[in-house]
Amino acid sequence: MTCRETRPLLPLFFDGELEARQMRAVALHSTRCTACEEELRELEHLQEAIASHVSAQVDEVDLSQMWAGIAPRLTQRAPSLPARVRAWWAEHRPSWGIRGPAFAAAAAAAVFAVVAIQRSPDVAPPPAARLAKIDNSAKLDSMQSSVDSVALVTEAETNTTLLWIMDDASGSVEHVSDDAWDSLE
Amino acid sequence: MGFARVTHGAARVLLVVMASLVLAPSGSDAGDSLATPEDGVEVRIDTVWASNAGKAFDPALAPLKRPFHGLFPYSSYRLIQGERRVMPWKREEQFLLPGGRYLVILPRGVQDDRVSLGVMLIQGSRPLVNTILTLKNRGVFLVGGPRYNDGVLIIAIGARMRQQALPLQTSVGP
Repeated sequence: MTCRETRPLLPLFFDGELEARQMRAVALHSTRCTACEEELRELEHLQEAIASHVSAQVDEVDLSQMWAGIAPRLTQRAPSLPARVRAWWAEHRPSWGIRGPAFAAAAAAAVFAVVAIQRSPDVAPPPAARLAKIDNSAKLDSMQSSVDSVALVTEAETNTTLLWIMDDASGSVEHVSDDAWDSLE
Repeated sequence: MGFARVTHGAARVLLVVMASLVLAPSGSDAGDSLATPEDGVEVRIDTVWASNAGKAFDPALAPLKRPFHGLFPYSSYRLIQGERRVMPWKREEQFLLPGGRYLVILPRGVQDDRVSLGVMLIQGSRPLVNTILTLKNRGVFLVGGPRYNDGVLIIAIGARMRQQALPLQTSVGP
């Protein structure tokens, strides 16, 4: 890949909007080309500047009451059909001022119920389903290795297991976060 | 020496044969407890270049943000290769990785919503690690450490059973 081909792709690369093949090509090129690498760094500086500015602005917004407003809606469900019929009947019956035949009332309620079902918004899915915790739990049944040493580390929140390979040609222990070693198996 | 004249391609073929022998399920251990649904399994290999050059987190890696930040000290994570394949059970396939490395994956079967995979990481002509892992359906397992361009590679291995799989997107090879 040449600089001329790479340059227009750099912003897209930086934003992660390229196809994987292009991502790889641009990444490879940028490690060999000083000019493109410099442009990438400028993009990073720009992003950092924007991020810090936005972050400063966000910090000034009072979000302390936001969750209190959201939480009740998460558990809010559309009323059941019988509840909607009863509510409608309770609301309209006094205004008619008549005691119509039960059949007519039931028919009217049924018609209303059908219309109400068709027009009512979808029942919100349970928040637990939408906010399901990521679970990447895994276990090694067997392992053989030709490297100096390997380590098995688990990230506690998502149960993500990392097999870290350490040898002269690949990596060293320092490349794993200190916190992660607390869960060393 | 004759051995020294073995070409890289031939060496790779030899290694894949070795891998298939090593990864092949052995005897009664193989199919007794593991089911092999007809639809196969969707395997996804994402290769991430982690480094301290700059500060960026590839948006494509959003689901891995929490584990990455919990496990690694790097400031920059970039997806440099992603490949997704539907694989039949008990047949190994290669996934080429940057830097002359490749993975040999053998889907072994499924039990209790967990997928069993044979995984061999090979660098050049040297098998670095050979393992059999059991991964929660739709879960991700990480292999990290191989050096790459002033940083390291982190390989995210994901598996999900086909009946729950999303429509396939374009697979991208190296």
